[in-house]
Amino acid sequence: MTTNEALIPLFPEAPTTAEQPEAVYALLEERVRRYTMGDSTSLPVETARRLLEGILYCLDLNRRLPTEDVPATAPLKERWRAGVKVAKKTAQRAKLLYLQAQRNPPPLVNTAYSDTMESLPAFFAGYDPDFFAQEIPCSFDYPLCQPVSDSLLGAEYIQDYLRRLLAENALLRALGREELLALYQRYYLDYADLLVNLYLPAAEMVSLCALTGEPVFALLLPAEKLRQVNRLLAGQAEVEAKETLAHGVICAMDTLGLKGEFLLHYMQQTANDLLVRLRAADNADE
Amino acid sequence: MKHEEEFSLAVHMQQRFLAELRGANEVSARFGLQLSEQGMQELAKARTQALVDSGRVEFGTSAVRAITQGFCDSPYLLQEDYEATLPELLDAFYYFKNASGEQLADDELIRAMRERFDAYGGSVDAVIGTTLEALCRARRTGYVEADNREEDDAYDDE
Repeated sequence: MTTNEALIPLFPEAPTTAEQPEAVYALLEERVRRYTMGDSTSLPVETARRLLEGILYCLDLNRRLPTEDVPATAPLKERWRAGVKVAKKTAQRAKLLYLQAQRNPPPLVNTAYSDTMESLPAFFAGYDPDFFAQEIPCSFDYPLCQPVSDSLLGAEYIQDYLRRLLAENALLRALGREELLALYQRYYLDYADLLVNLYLPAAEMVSLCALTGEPVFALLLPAEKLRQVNRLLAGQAEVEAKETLAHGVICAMDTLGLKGEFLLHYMQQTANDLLVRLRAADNADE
Repeated sequence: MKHEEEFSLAVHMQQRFLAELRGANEVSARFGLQLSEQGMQELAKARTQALVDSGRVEFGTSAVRAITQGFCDSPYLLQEDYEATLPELLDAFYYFKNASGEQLADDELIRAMRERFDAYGGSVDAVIGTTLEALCRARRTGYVEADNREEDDAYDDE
C-alpha cells in the first residue's frame, strides 16, 4: 500500500494532488500531534479526515493566491502555513464585510435574513484556520439570488456570501420601504416567514421599469407594459435580448444612483436569469 | 515512479510499530514479561483490527507502548497470559477512547484501566465489561466500594 492509498480512506474524494504524499502524511502527523496536544496517539477517522482536508485546502489556497515570499517551489509546510495565513486574512476581511452588512441592512428584512445575520458571528467565533480552515462552523439559510459557488469553502465562502449580500442590500437600500413592501406582497405569499430572497423581485422590477420608461422607484409595472417587454424580448435573438436587459440594468442603476462593477455584474446576471424565465414562460404559452 | 521505489506507508508503519514493541519489551522484561517475535506480529495485526473496528487512526507513536508500560508492573499480569491479554486491553482502550468523546488523555485512561485490572485480580473481563463512568469514578474515589459494585457494571452480575 502506498501513502496515497493510505490517505484515500481518510479523504476519498481528494483529487490526485501534485504534492508528495509522504510530505502530506508527515504534516498530517504533526497536525494530529498538535491537535491532540500530545494527550492521545489516536483519533477518530472522521477527525483525521477533517484535518487532512484542512491541510489540502490551505495548500490549495496558497496555490490559488500565492504570496511572493512563499513560492510554489517552497517546502510543503511553508506553503501550508502561507495558506493558513491567507485563510486568517480572508476571515478578517469577511468580518469587516459582516460589520458593514450589519450597519447597512435593507429597509425590510425577513426571518431568514435576521436569523442569518444572528448566526454569522458564530462563524467568526468558531472558525479555526489552523486545523479546519475549510469548515464553516455556523449554519445560515437566507438564500441569495446568485448563490455562492459550492467550490468555495471556509472563510472564502463566507466572504463571498457577504459580498453578494452587500450588493443585494445596496440595491434594496436605494428603494423605498413602502414600495418594497407592496412589491413583496404581490410577489410572495408571505415574504416575512418564507425562505425567500428579498433582492430578486426588486432587481427584476427596476430593470423592467427602466426598460419600459416606467418610474424605477415605484416598483410597479402595468400588465400592458410587461406584455410590451415580453414582445420586445421575444422578437430578439439571445445576445440582443441580453443586451437590451443589460441596458435596462444600467439605466436603473443610474436612476437609483448605484455604482460598482460587482453590483452591475450581479444585476446583469439576475437580468439574464429573468430572460431565461420569460422565454420559458413564452414557450409554455405557445 | 517505479512501484518498488514508492514509499510504502504500511511497511514503514509496521516497522516503526515493531520497533516500538521491541523498546517496550526492554522495559517489560524487567518484570518478567516479553513478547515473542510472533507475538509482536500478532499484536500488530490486532492493533490494526482494533483501530478499524473502533473507527480510529493512529499517527506516530502507538498507544500500545504506553499500555504495555502501564501494565507491565502489575502483579496480576503473567508471562503466560501476556500475549493474549494485550490485544484485549488494546480493544478496550480504543473503545473507551471513543466512549470518552476524546476527553480522556491516553495516560489517564491507561491508569484507570490498570486500577480496575488490579482491583479485580488481573481480570481483563472486568476492564472490558465496565463502563467509562465506572472506570472514571473508581479513579476519582479510590477503587470500588462494596456498595458501588452492583451498579458498577454488567460484569459483576455475570
